[in-house]
Amino acid sequence: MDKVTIKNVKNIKTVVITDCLLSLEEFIAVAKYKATISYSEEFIRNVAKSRNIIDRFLNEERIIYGVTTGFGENVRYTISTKDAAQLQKNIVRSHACAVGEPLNEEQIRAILLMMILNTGKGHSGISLNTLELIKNFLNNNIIPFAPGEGSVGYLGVEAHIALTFMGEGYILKNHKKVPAPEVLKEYNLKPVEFGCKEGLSLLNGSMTVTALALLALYEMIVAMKNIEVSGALVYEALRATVKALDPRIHNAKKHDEQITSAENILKMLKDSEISEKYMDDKVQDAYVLRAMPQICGSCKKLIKEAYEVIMDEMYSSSDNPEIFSENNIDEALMCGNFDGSYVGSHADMLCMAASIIGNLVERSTDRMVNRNLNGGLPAFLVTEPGLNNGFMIPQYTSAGLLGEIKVLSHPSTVDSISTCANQEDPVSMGYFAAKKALIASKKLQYMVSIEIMVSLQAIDLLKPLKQSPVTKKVHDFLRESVPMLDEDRYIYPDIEYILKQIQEMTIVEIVENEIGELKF
Amino acid sequence: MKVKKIILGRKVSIKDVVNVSRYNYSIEFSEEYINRVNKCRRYVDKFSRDGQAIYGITTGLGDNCDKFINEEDREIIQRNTILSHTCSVGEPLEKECVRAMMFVMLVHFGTGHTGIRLETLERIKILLNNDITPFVPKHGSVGYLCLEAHIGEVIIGEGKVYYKDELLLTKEVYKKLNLKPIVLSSKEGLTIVSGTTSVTALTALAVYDSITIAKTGDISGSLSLEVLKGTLMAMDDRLMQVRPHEDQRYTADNIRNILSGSQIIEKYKGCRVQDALSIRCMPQLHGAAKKLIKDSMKTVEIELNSSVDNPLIFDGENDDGTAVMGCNADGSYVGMAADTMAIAVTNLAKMSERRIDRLINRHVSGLPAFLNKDAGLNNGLMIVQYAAAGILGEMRIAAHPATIDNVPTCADQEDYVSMGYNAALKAYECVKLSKYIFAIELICGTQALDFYDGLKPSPATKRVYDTIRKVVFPIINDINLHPCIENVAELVKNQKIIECVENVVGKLIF
Repeated sequence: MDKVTIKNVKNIKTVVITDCLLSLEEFIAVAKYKATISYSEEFIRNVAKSRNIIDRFLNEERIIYGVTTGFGENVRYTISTKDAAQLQKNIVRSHACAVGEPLNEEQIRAILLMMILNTGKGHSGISLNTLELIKNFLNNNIIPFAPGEGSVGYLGVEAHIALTFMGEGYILKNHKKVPAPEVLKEYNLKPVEFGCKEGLSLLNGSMTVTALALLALYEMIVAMKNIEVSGALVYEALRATVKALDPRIHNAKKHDEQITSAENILKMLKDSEISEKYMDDKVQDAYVLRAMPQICGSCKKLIKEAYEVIMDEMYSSSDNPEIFSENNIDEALMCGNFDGSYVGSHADMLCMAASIIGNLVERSTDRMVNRNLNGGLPAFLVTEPGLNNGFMIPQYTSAGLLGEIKVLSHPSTVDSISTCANQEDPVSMGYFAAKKALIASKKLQYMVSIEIMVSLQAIDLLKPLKQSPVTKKVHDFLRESVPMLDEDRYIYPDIEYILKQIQEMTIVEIVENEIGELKF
Repeated sequence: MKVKKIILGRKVSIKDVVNVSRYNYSIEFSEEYINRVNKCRRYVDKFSRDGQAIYGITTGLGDNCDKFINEEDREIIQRNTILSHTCSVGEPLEKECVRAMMFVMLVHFGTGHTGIRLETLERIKILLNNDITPFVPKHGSVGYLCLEAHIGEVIIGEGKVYYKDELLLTKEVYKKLNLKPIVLSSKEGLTIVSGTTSVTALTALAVYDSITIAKTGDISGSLSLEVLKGTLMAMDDRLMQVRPHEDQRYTADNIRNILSGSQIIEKYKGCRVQDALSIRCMPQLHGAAKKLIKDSMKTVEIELNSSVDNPLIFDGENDDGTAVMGCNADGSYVGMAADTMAIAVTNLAKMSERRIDRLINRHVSGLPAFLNKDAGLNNGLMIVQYAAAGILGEMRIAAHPATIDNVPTCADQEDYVSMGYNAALKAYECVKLSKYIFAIELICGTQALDFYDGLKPSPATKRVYDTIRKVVFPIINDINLHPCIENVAELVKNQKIIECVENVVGKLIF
């Protein structure tokens, strides 16, 4: 398995697409940070080749699903060559059935990119013309309006996006719906007339599930890396004994992620006066501190397993039918590669990881503000409790967020509702699995923000004891914008500020500049 | 034009919550309301002067309740309470929800047991009547405190508000309208953040909409029964009498009334020995769901007309007041009602989705595949059922209960919390999603009627047909279906489908 890294995301400004095998960093750079894309000559050749094959099949009037037949259970109808283009228009129009709140910019960009990566591997027969238009959408940040509710894994959401390629439907500008033709004109872009199979290829694949799962995966890695930094801060704030991080303990269990978690935290705490002073203060700490590497490790393992599967799906062709050209034989094979179960079930797992690690984050937060457990620090970490509430309520927020994440951890992929007159009798329900994993990961990031905010205050109350040089860097950086709390103030902006540093990886960067990349 | 207003002082209903939050009814205070508020406030002022230990008036909050607060600090502590509780995060709550919260505040705080000042209530009233809506992030509440504090912030002139669709600093808007920030007095900050405001507000909206959904379900289900050549035998009152759940019986009554006079029903009588369960079992399942919704409704109506603060102030001896510490601020009653409602609505949707499948699925419908005259080239109503299936999947997850969860807070002083807010939030979302499923059933039912040339539907379903056909033309060649679904969902939400049926058959029984 590749090393999980997200270090270079913001440095990537352009991505050249050749074999459609992007790294997670490249994917996120395009989807989230608007890196521009271009196509290599090899890519263009491959796409053109598979397009020629499908055109030839149409002329030969071969019976191929979705090319010369109706869709889904309508496969029993054959469609004449002259209606081939109309058939593609029809699939897009009739499938634009997703409803409710539209997906946001990064979600749509991720889907657009997945459309390219999925159909550009030479098995879909998509035309270069269409892929050029999608590229132009991305490079000009044109965001189709696509309602985000009512998908069993594919079709409904994608159709709204494909509609805009045809010059129908809507495009979002400053959160407002503008008819697609107006925007296309503004950018001097021509709508495409889909050739045979193209509408189908853009709709029936795991593209959306994979796109949202990739975003969720990234956000979970972001959260997890910050959680280890936050964990080191909590160790100081609660004067936990670093003996629990002893490598001998962790080598006795064979889980790599646990071993490296302990190593990461221990490295961050090197030369901490606080840690040294309290090394032998307690026989052992509470579960939440003592088992931090075990819990962090198990969640990292879940995330890594999800990483492997979701990346493999990104590297796959997920369409039906798929075109193959081997040993001078060209063939279109009908199949189930469009299915989203692989990604969906692993997105469900990401959500579970968010709950598990969320339990750790919330309990750490409680332990710091709770005067019965925080080892003699003032109630809610404020110097004049009573008059001031201090950090009483952020823990409530953390608890409320965790409650939501737990409800979302109910797996989506265990559900199925037969569709299409029982032609599609199980469905993956992977769409909502991916969507809720993304929602959960962002709620988790808020919880981490609260944990960090609280830990800084606890550490300040331990002065003059000194932090480790590494955690001090984090402390000092955040304290430039979030001062110590001496009396109650509007806390909300502080939570938002720290959240931003978490999401932008600023905090992790500060640490990694000191001790090298945190092992994942 | 008659000004639509609500005068506070007497009992309020869920309908009042909707009228204020969604339809911008203005608010006035009655004499009675003003008098009881002022009377209670006099008691609180006296407690404050006398200095006896009363939670939140002369003491700190939560686990800080054993800390005495000096008189000169009591304005500061109220302000501190608001500021330090502004911890909810994420996207802002919908406008109608925030308005519902402010309305519930006026009702709850004005019962004459909280000790809030009239001046503060006047400010909330001004915000509502002038369409000023506080910016309230919607995530991170265990049942109370955090969202409410964001409204409190606006009362004291800080934070942000939506005014004329623009997000502005409260300060600026106050300046424009010549309003001064309120300086909160003893107990007021606590009153604002405590209680069941958000849980009650969101659940009230959800209850209201779920009643709409349940009634609409009787209509869409009847239409489906008709076009699927179903039999009314299963709606026979004798069956209902021997299983006397009243909501089951009312549902059967509704279905018989809606389908009365249908030539289609008449012609296909005896076509099947019995129908599939999603048709035959409507009275039993719709009835059961309605029972849960009604139970939730009763709970919310009691909660709306309750005093939920802590402490509560009562008349004592010798014209004096007395403060009693308790926990009426707990959100479990309403939270569980909200969890239950999500289950009820998901069950209604579950059955509707199966009827949608039955309508478009040629193996069981006896109608053209996907209700489509030119199948093959056109997909017709194939994918609307996928949308229904996807939404139902989301609803099922939202139906996982929130109130069974617990995370201790406040240094274990609040060792149990209701999680009622998360229950309310997801009940609200769940009901909001469900309207699409019923809209899809109605679109399919309407389309199916087109295959009954020469046979008349019942007068009521004909009226439904006409109402839907105003926004959805017969689907022959594939078109972009999304606007059709959204338009019919609006008709469902605004009770237009119910109205058009009730114009023919009289009030549907709920």
